[in-house]
Amino acid sequence: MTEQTPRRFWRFPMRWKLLMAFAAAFTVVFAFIAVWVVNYASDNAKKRITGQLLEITEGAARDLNARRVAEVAALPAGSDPAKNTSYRRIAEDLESVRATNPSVQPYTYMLDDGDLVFLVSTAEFKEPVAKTVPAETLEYMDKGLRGTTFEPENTDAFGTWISAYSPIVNRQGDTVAAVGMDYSIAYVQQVQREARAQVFPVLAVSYVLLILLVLMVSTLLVRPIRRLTDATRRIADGEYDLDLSHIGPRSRFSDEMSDLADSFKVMASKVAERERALTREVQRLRVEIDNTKREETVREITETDFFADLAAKAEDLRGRMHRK
Amino acid sequence: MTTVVSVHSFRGGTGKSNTTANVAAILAAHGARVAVIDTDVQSPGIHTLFGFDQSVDHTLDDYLWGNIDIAGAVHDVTDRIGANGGGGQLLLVPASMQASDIARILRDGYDVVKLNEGFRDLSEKFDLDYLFIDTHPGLNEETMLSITVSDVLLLLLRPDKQDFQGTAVTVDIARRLSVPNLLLVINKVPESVDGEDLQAQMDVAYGAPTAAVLPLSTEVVINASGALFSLTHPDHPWSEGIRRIAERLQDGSATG
Repeated sequence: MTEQTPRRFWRFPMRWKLLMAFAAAFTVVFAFIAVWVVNYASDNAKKRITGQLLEITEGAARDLNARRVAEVAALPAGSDPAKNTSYRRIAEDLESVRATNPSVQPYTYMLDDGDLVFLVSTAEFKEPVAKTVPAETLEYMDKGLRGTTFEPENTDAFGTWISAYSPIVNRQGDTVAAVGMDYSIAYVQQVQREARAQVFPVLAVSYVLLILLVLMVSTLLVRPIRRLTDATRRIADGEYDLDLSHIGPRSRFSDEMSDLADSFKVMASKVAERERALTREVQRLRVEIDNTKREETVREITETDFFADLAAKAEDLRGRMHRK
Repeated sequence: MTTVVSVHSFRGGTGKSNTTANVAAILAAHGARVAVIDTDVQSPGIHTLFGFDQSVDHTLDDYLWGNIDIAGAVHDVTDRIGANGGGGQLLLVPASMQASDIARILRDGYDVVKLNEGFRDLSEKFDLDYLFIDTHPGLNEETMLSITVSDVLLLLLRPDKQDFQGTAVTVDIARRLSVPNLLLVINKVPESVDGEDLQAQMDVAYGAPTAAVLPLSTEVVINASGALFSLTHPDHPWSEGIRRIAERLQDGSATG
């Protein structure tokens, strides 16, 4: 039996192992959750904006006076529309939409001899749309004359936008023109950033709390093991009357740890019993006699005259005791 | 015919007097006529076990000085064993507890031959079945005489080195004196000691039978000088051991 334990240079406590393993697992899971939540938040923000944009566009198309739009549409290209009352009213209406939704750029356009031209907008009156707008957007705008259309991210000479188009229909059901609304992508991105910014602290706090929880759990798991280790050391030192009640749960419910503590107690008592038996074995008395000394002492006694006399008379003395 | 039993030990404190009194009482209770003679005149003590105090009149000392004959020193203590069924009788010849008497014995000694005559007269006059001689510890002229005249030598020892050694010497001496029966009794054996193992070792070491391994018991020690423990506590392991010794003596007298 050896009392030496293998020499280990690196001590890596189980608590830290548990902590690291849990932390690693949680970090991976958390990273996925975080990416998903952030994406979800920004997608949601974008969807909300899209919905709003379509609503505003449809609203504007409905609210604009189709008769006035038709009147403006009939004005010849190159004329000064600012003198026309209807033009001014439409411009005012669009301006009021912009006032309530500052991030929106509203305008109207129409089909003139097969080409899309701007009607009331920041561009020149009846300026061909194709002049400033890429072909792709042109198609969306064309579709916008037939029904409400959404156009995802598009870039023109003035910036990057998301856009919506909705036809302006008169009482007879004829499309006279269409409303276009551009929504700056920068603003969309800002909303997405804000959504993310709201989610991040929640995620960060949850992550820290989770790690703390792991730290606590690992400590709780390791504590009874440490106590048991301490108990084994004391048993090694011959201290058997241990109180192991503090190992395992304090409640009446048992778990693996209390099972271990119980079987440990049984083991300790058995070891103690066995050692007591061993001690008893050690206490086995040895009847040891020094025969040299024994013979010497016997000789000293038997060499006396008294003994020689007594030994000679022994039979006789016993006989006289029993004479009748 | 009387079985003369010398109870001896190499050293004092083996519980010799207590064992003697108890074995004698058990035999008397079983209907035997038993006498106990306290030849430990230098340090007497067995009388207290039979309820006598310091002042005992008519002692062995008086007999040895020729003041009385041996029958005059006999005290009937049969009532101490309670029942006198079966015609048993228990007699005691005490030694004087008087300091002056003890001093005189130590100074002048006594006539060993007269002591031997006393044993014989006692056996004859009272028609004894057993005569127990409670001896002074250690080997001297008186004790060797007691050993010589006995049919059975009951050697008591405690489980320690000095007693193991001294008992070996006593056993050798008893053999040289051709004592017919030799019985060993080891007393005050701690509970932690394996008794059977001890007995086996003693068988080998002394070549003589061990009649009993008596346990060390505080109860026995507390009771020792007050009463006969084996009668008051018959179920105690110590009392069982005492009964085994008595049975051994009965067997011995039956065959011898």
